[in-house]
Amino acid sequence: MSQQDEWPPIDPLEAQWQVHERPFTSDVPLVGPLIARLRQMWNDVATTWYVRPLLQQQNDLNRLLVARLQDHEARLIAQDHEQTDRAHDLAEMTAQLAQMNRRLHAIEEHLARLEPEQSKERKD
Amino acid sequence: MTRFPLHVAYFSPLPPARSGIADYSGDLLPFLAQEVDLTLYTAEPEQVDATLRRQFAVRPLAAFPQERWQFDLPLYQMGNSVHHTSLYATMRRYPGVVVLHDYFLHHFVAHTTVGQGRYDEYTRELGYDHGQTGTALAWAIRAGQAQHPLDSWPLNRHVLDLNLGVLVHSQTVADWVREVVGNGRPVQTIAQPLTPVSGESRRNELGWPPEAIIFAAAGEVTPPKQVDRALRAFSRLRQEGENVYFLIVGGESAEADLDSLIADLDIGSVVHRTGFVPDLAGFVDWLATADVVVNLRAPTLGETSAVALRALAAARPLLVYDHGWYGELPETAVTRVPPLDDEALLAAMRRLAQSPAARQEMGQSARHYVAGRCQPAQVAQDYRVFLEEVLRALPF
Repeated sequence: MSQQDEWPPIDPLEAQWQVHERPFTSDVPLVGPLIARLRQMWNDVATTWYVRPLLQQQNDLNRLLVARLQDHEARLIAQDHEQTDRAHDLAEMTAQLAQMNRRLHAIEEHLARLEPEQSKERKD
Repeated sequence: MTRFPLHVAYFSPLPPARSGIADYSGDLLPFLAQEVDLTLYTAEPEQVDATLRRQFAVRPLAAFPQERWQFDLPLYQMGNSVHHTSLYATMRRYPGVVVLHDYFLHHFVAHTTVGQGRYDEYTRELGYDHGQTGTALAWAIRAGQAQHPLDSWPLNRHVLDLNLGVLVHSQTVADWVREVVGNGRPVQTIAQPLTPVSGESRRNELGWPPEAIIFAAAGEVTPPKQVDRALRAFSRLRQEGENVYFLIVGGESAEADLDSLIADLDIGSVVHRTGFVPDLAGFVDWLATADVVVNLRAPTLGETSAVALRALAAARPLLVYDHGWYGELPETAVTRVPPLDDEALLAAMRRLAQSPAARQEMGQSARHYVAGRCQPAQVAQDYRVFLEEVLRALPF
């Protein structure tokens, strides 16, 4: 039977947790690359040293959150399996109890039938 | 084993629900009632066929939790359609013995979760069966980056883990189930009960030559039934000069689009389409009209085909793909060809068209096979024996 296990699907959370710096671009004809380069230079001077640590901090937090969520997910899956096992065990016990109840009932009926006979024997 | 008649709580779609499993239960119940005491549970007892209501106690599903102590076992008829929604919920809480009519339950699970806007439950089901690979796929589907693997992930693990015993209709599926649950749990194949219905050929209504060989495809036409391949092979057979005609018995799904295919092949005058046939007697009449029934299915998801069994019971030679349950049918009664092999299909159709003796022989063997294997009384007895085996296997 075909299974889809052979390809690992990409979890959107796993694919998107990391925040990346974006390169500067410009759509202006001819001088566009120059404008983008100037913007990049200004960014290097003004913001890079401020933004990069923030990005790193955000990525560290994102990574932690993803790991925490995956951990919860694994626990939920494990709990679902455990819950299913309990439901299975409970079904076994219910069936056993039903069987025992019926046997008990049959024994009681049998005893009830025997009692008049024993009373009669005692009288005799 | 037990000295008492078994008390069984029976969960299934019931007639007149438009479900193959409802029909199955309708056929089985009178015979099963000879073997065990039955109480039927269903979401809407008042909707159940009046004959069944007269014959059996029919109780609402909601009453089962209070009444469950009266029964030795609950028995669930489970399939891959929305008709099983409410019984599935009960099964999750109070498992027992399940008859798995479809190995793949993914359509059912997707419909009852995603279809109702409950992505979280779908994610949970995929996670149950496939761990975090499953949940990752569920999120990818939700983000529009992947498709539901409806025909490759069965999503039946929950049902198999829950229940104390599993009945299936083919050795193929029994092997698949054992791969999941191991050998420690009772798993058994059980034949489909079939009460033969005699059919009368409607050949006269078709206006075709009396000596014509009629091929038929029966049952709802959907893409997996590969009716288009059968029609292409049929068209080539016509071009070879064979005096063959084609009958399509049953409704046609929108995806089937037979109009354009029949026009392209220019076979409109030698193909008859009945449309949906509402009653079994009429359906069997059309089967009896055919000389050969073509019952292809690819892919197979472990299903059995009631149409195939009806055709065999009507002593029709059957042409099938050689996989799954179809591959388990006796060679004396069916012609099996490799799946999706158009040349092999054409050769098999040619051989059957040219050999009345082979058709006759196969037809007799087909009828004999169904009569021997699908007797409802025997099937009901097999049910009882299996239920007793499940109780015997309990860890006292």
